[in-house]
Amino acid sequence: MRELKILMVVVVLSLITYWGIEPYAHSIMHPKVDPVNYNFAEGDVKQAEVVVSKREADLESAKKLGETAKIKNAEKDLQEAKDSLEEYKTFWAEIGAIDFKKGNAEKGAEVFMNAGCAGCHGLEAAGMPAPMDNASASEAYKVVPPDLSTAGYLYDDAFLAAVIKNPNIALKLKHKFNDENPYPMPAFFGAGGEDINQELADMVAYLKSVAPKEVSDEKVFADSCQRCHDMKYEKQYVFTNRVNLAEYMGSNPPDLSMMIRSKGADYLHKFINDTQKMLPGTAMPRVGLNKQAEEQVVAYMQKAGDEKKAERESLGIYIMIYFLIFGIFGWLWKRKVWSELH
Amino acid sequence: MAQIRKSTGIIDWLDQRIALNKMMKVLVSEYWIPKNINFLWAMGVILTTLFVLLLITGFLLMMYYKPDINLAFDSVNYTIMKEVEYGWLWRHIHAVAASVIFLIIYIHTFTAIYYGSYKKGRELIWISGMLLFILFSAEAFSGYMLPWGQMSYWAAMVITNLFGGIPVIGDAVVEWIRGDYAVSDSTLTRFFMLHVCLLPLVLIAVIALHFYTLRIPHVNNETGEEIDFDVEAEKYLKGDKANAKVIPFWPGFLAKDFMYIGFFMIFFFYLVCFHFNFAMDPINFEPGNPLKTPPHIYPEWYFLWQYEILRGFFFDIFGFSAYNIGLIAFAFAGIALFFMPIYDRSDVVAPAHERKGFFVWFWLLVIDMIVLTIFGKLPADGVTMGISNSWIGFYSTITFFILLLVVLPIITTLEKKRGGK
Repeated sequence: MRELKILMVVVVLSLITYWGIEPYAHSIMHPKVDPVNYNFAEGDVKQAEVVVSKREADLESAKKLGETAKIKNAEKDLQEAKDSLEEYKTFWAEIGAIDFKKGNAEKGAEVFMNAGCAGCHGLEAAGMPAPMDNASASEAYKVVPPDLSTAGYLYDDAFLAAVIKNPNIALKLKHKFNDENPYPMPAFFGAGGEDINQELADMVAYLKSVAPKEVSDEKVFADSCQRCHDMKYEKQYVFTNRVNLAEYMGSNPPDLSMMIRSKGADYLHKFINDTQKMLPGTAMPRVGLNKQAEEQVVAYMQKAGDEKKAERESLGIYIMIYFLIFGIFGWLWKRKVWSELH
Repeated sequence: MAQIRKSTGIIDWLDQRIALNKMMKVLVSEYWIPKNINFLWAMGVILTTLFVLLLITGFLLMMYYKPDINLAFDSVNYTIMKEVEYGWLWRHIHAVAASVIFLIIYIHTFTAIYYGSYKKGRELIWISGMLLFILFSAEAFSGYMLPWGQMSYWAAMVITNLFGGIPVIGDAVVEWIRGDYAVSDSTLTRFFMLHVCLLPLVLIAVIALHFYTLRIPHVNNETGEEIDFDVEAEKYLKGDKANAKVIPFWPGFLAKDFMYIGFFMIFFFYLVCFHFNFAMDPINFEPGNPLKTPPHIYPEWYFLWQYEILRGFFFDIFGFSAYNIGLIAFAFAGIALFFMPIYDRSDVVAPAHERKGFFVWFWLLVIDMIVLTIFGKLPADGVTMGISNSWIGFYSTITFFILLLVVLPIITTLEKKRGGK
């Protein structure tokens, strides 16, 4: 029993040390954020409120220090955060007013053409190839515009409408693009119809109608990430010319082969769901995938970066059983040897 | 030359040429171990097992690893992890064993401190053991760099930079170690050589020395009893096994150890197959990038207490810069435990619970090192329970030195004056 007591002491001390180094230190270095929210209207407003309260706290501490320049900066940041909150509220309220049930796919096809979407985007599913090859598109837009065939599969109604209406807000890139330096895709102010909301609903219905019902993990990755990111361990490489891309994003976006290991599935879900929540100021747009598509992307990353997981876990059980039997034989042998020694 | 006659079998043939029976007696069947020891004495054999695992998996990994900054990351994460059959297994065994071996080294070391196994005739066991700790540290550090991940690069940057603190020749030493002005390909190749050749050779030699130092003073026991091994061995050999206080290394000691190894390996392979990432910093799955500093740079868990001592002094004292004081403290922390036989002035060899003052001292040291370890990972600018982390780091650093350099000599001198326990 003495040995068990000693073992308990060793185990408890090791666990305390482990707890301190891993979960505890980790929670301090990566403060908690709200969970993934596929209701972008709700998630964005909540996150904007979080930023406002952070800026308020910053202002408080700046006031405590009493430096005028710092206080002024903090006040300015707070005002920006408040404006941004208002903007999200208004924007998502407008999207919320759209009645997607009234969307008409046939009319949507017309709007799609009238609005000039096909000037930049391909829609292979409807027999419309991209107007430019990747090399020319890279030169023209700095990043290859996506083919929209699977857009209806990847995104939910509200997010699709939001991206069409104002991509800069929907993708959370306001810190990067403004009036002087506009986002390559212009906002949608209507294509000649009377009701812009109806036009949006129609276009969403159209994209939904042409989209396939099932898309492979690899294709989901290609359509949502591969314009900017490599996945070289799966032999997938960026569509955009790297020089243009580096110019557009500020630096070349990382290869995603090992991302599942360096960031973990939980972080990746949150990051795809809202980049600015996880890495404020990043040049990467919010991806905005729906739940299913996002899980497919993460599954694909899991396959690239942790391919042997299933093998590891099944073999693990056998190895542990082997050593359990080994240990039992060891114990029996010990009993035999020590029966003479006591 | 000895008289060689026609042998009766393979064992006899070998016995005539290399005295096989005598060697086996010296090394195992008549190598005497005290009977009253507990499972903590099995840590040596577990360490040997882990070392063998590291050696074998290391050879296998070396078949595919490429020591080149352009190839290293992918040779580990793609070739070994995806293309090589069971490459993931060798890699995870290697990485987990490298981490777990430190856990066992610490348990082994604190066992020696608790039972007073470092003194009176056993000093060389202790010193060769501490030498092994230093060598394992160098081995671990040089190996950590090889996958050329973000933390590999930045850890190498920070650690090699420390040598710049050496007076006069500091900068030249840093350059000499790196083989370049910055951490670069030449640094990687030389660390590769150190990790797979020079250090393992020295390690094996010192492990042999460590084993040999045990042969004459013999291993300590649970009560610190001084055993006359010759008399007790005589008893055993005459057949009075029950009353002899000693057992042979084989089968007596190893019979127990096989059981311990079996149960330990269940835990070990649980880590390898289900929780390998405890030994691998996620940041190291990003390729090393000299242009992008990670937000937090910290070493592997087993160096955290030393790292916290390094940054424990964060303000200048009497004109000495914080940087230099930290560096000296760090250098001393690395070798501080070498001198245990000197700090401890008492001749009593007994477990700590039979030495009142020492018992309290021992647990204070353990707690202090755990605190240092945890705060070594936490960001220095944070606040814990209303106290700034920097000050907690400072006080626990000071505590470490006072415990070793002041408190231990005093309480053991008093113990000696009292004439024992």
